[in-house]
Amino acid sequence: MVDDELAEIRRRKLEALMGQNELKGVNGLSGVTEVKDSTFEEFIRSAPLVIIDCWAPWCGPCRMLAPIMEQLAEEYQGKIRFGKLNTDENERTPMRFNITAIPTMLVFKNGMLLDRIVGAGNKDFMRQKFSKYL
Amino acid sequence: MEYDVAIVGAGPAGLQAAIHAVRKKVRVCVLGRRQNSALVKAEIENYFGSPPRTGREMLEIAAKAAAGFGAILLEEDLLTIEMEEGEFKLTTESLREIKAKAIVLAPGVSRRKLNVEGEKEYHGLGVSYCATCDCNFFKRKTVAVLGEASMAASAALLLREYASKVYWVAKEFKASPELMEKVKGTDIELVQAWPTRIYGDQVVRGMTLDDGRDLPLDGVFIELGAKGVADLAMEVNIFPDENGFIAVDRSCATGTPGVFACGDVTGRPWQLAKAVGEGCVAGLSAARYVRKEEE
Repeated sequence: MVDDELAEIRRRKLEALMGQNELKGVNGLSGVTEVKDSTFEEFIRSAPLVIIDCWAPWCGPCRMLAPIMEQLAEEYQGKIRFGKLNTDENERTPMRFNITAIPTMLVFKNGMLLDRIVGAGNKDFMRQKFSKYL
Repeated sequence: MEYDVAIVGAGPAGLQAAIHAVRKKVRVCVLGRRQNSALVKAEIENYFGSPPRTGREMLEIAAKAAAGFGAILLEEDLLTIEMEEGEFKLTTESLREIKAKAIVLAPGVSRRKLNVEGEKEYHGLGVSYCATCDCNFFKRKTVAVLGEASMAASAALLLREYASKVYWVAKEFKASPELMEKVKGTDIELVQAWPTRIYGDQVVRGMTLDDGRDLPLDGVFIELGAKGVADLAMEVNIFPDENGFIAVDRSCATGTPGVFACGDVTGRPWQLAKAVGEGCVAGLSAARYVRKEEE
């Protein structure tokens, strides 16, 4: 019984720790952070300007966009915070924002939805899109 | 079927690529329908050394020449390209599988947009251009696929696995017999009409047709004509630029080893002379790549 309770406490602590790591991203505040339904609200309020790439593994354009987003996250470090949300594993957020095509990028300013970008382009194209939010 | 070089597109760039590649003693096939080339409707009077003549006539002469040199011309649209260990597997609309060591993309520029009211407004809010990417968002919903060729049939069949109701809307239904047969075996409803507008509130709610009918819908998938440039390119890890063109170097090589591109797909000017010139370069480069020759 005690063992079960301990296991439960350990599990919860581990989840909380993992949650923190997810929010920090692999490289602290740089890079593209994996966002989930459960961490979404907190993430969009974690910086003044946040862009979330909603994607899925079977989507060719999404896969092509992923490395570009990583590079742009480095480029815009300190100006825009980037996250990515797997729409296959997280259904609540796409439903909430009526997402029916991927990739879709949700742009948040101070936690409020400012814009959405549907579809992908090369690095110059995405840079052109993102620069107007700065 | 196995080839050394598979050429996607049977317009001037693709046929010229075929002529130059096959004369380098590699096995070449050309995929695509000549009648879909933009050249079919053109009258050409600015081509080097040639008297004014119709584009259709020039295409027929070039196709005969390519076949005469040994290229295999398959009058079929392409459905998918997959990369497998440095080789390419292409599936055509008759569900034929073709393997190739190199590919030349010469699909021309095709119209992807429908240009009706509501299309732009609802892009990403019910309007989609990629059935594979977005089918999962339409589970147990009602959707329409727009387009007359095999790409539309293929999209409708895929969507039927997710949506509760699928309409296939076109003026004519011209998919391959194999895909038409597959569609017939399902409850996909064929609607012979064309939309005049897509409407909705926050998301798509339906479509008005040119025969006055109204189709209540949750999603609209636009799959016009043969496979578009962007879709083709992304399947081989190439991102078209902001104008939708594929970047190539002087040998018509793209960023993906074994993939070459030529003709209108690489950008302006959209001229026969430029398409043919690039076709020559791409065909020679693809043959050299297969034969592992240095330039």
